[in-house]
Amino acid sequence: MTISIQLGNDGSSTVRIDGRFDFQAHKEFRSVLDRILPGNKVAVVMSGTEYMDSSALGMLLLLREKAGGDGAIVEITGGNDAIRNILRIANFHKLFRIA
Amino acid sequence: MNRDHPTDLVSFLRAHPWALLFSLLAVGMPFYGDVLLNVLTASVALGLWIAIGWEATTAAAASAAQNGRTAAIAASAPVQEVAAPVAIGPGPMLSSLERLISHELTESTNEIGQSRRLLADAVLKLDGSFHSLNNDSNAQYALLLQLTTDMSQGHTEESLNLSRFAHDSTEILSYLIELVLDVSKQSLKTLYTIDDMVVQMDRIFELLAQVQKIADQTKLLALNANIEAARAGAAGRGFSVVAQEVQQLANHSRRLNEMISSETGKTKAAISEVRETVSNVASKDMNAALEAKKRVDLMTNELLILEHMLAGKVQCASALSSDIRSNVAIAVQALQFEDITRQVLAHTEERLARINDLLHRLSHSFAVHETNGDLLETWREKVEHSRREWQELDHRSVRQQSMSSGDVELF
Repeated sequence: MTISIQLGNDGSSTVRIDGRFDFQAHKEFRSVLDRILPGNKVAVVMSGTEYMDSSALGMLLLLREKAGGDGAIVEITGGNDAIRNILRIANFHKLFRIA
Repeated sequence: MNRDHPTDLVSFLRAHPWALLFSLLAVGMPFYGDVLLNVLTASVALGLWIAIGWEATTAAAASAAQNGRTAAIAASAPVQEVAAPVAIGPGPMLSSLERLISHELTESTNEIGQSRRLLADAVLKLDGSFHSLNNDSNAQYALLLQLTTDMSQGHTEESLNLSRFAHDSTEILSYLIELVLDVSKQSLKTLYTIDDMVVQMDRIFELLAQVQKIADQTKLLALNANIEAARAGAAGRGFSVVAQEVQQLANHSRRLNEMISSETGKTKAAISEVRETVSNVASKDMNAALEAKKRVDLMTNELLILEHMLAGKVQCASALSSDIRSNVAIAVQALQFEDITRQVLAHTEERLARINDLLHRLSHSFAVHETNGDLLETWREKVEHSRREWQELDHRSVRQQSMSSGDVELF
């Protein structure tokens, strides 16, 4: 599992999550979370994500909160069928922009 | 028959006996057209045939006698050998025939009666059976309708209702999922806060170590001051007291520091325990809840499809019930043929009785009276009279035009 963040010049950030995205990722995710600038757009790239559980969903919710809550623009791209299914069941399309 | 030329007709009929029978049959067919009535035709044909046969015989004898007389008057011609048959009347033959036909007629009447009883019995059963079929079909339809109404609308607000059940379970599970995700988010947030607290705690321990260092240095300083005071002798006695006080302060400070370290250490252990607990909550894989929602979503869809399908099937069942009702109505109406058949059979029985009566009178008359041309003429008139009378009876009898002319009220 690898979580990386790239900051853009405009304050936006791109978070890339590869491998298994579960509770084990919480420390690494914390360091990424700390670098996000509130009020800026965040793009989450999950094309390399193999698996995600409910903890991962909790982390994405924290990311959204950090980015500005209801006013935040958080976009999720990629993800296999299982991941898209989980995002759909969790009603994430109401909270995130799922592309 | 042509009475002016009896001999010619007789010889013709003798040559072609079936011609008479067939002609009589052909004449009789339009009036009767019934197997049983062919018995009448046959009997009348036979009767007439016998009568004609006898008349021919007597006519031939009379002719021969006249010829004989003429020959005697002439007295020259030899006696002609003319066959003079014994004049036996048709009486015995007719009474024998009457017994035969009467027996057949009685048997036929019995068989007709039996048929009528069997028919009435069967029709009664069929009628009952069709009515039961109709009632059962209606009851079945009502049950089916009740079942689907219960399933889709329910008896009361609280009872099972498929669409409401589907809607409610989806809503409850959505709420559950929301809760699960919120727990996950909050526990992670708490975990991060605890991690921050642990870092702060470590900072406190670092600071406490520095305090400990100061206390140690103070103690060393007091020791040095004490040594210097001893070396100064009497002049340093006062300073020695101060140095000892400072040493005691340093000792106090060290003990206090140790106590703070101990308490802080306990707090750190407690925080570590809390972190473990929260970590357990946060790491709990709650994907089962997500899976459950997925399954319930599928089941809900299936339920709605099922409900829709049930409604469709009930409509089909309703159409079938209505078909059964109309088919049963047609069947019950068709069963009215029994009434008509019974009337027809009653008429046939009457006809047979008339035939029997006529035959009996004919036979009796030929047995009792001397047979001659007058008797035959009388009987020809009687037969003609009977024919007209029977035709009149036929016209008077009520004829059912069609079975479908009367509508049947089933229910």
